[in-house]
Amino acid sequence: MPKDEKPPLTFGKRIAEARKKLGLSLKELAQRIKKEDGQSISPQYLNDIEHDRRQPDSPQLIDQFAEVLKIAPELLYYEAGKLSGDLRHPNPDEEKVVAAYQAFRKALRGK
Amino acid sequence: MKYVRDTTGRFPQRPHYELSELDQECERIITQFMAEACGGFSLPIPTEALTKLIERDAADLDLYADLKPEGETSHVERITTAVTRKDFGFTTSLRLAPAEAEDFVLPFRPFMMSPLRNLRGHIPFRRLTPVHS
Repeated sequence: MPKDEKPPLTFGKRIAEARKKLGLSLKELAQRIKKEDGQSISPQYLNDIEHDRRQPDSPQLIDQFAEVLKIAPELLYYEAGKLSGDLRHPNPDEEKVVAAYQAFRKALRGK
Repeated sequence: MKYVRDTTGRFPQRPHYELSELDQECERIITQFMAEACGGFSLPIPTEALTKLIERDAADLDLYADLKPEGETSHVERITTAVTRKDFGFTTSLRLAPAEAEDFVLPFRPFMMSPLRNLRGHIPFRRLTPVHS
């Protein structure tokens, strides 16, 4: 990597960077992100996510991070190494999955 | 502030502040920050304001770090790590043990006495520490 080039953002670092840009504290952001049971995530869990010690365990959390922090959800899914809920299918067409991955790879790598 | 000879052998010189100077500088930093980010200065200072202030200036603030590997027997509570030093800047990474990260509200003075406030104090004052050669 060239000397002046910034290292790529991880999922956690992107969340932390966006949170600080919006002037939110760890606690304030944690209060806005709800789990499936309606409870907010804990500041400790969010702190672990921001330091890449843990990953969000559901697509629902990633969608909320994207909405609150105004980040494209696709970017967050990519950095979390996950698929968004709408792309998951119980019985996917295997050829389409392969083709989609190849197109994705081609778009990212340009080959 | 004046530079005095460092007797630890780590630096040729180190900065020395009178307590009143530390107090004055810390008061300036927190009142200015709260005026800009919190709608004005008020007492007691909320922990939220202090964490935002640290995050504004430090490279990282890890409030729930597991510091056991750093010192099983020495009861390590916090670590300040120099990441880079550029243009006299000094980027700091701070990690606090969970007990210190709990929400607390403390009286303003003396500014430097609590762990979180003490850590915030590291940032401006350590910038002045001479480079270890």
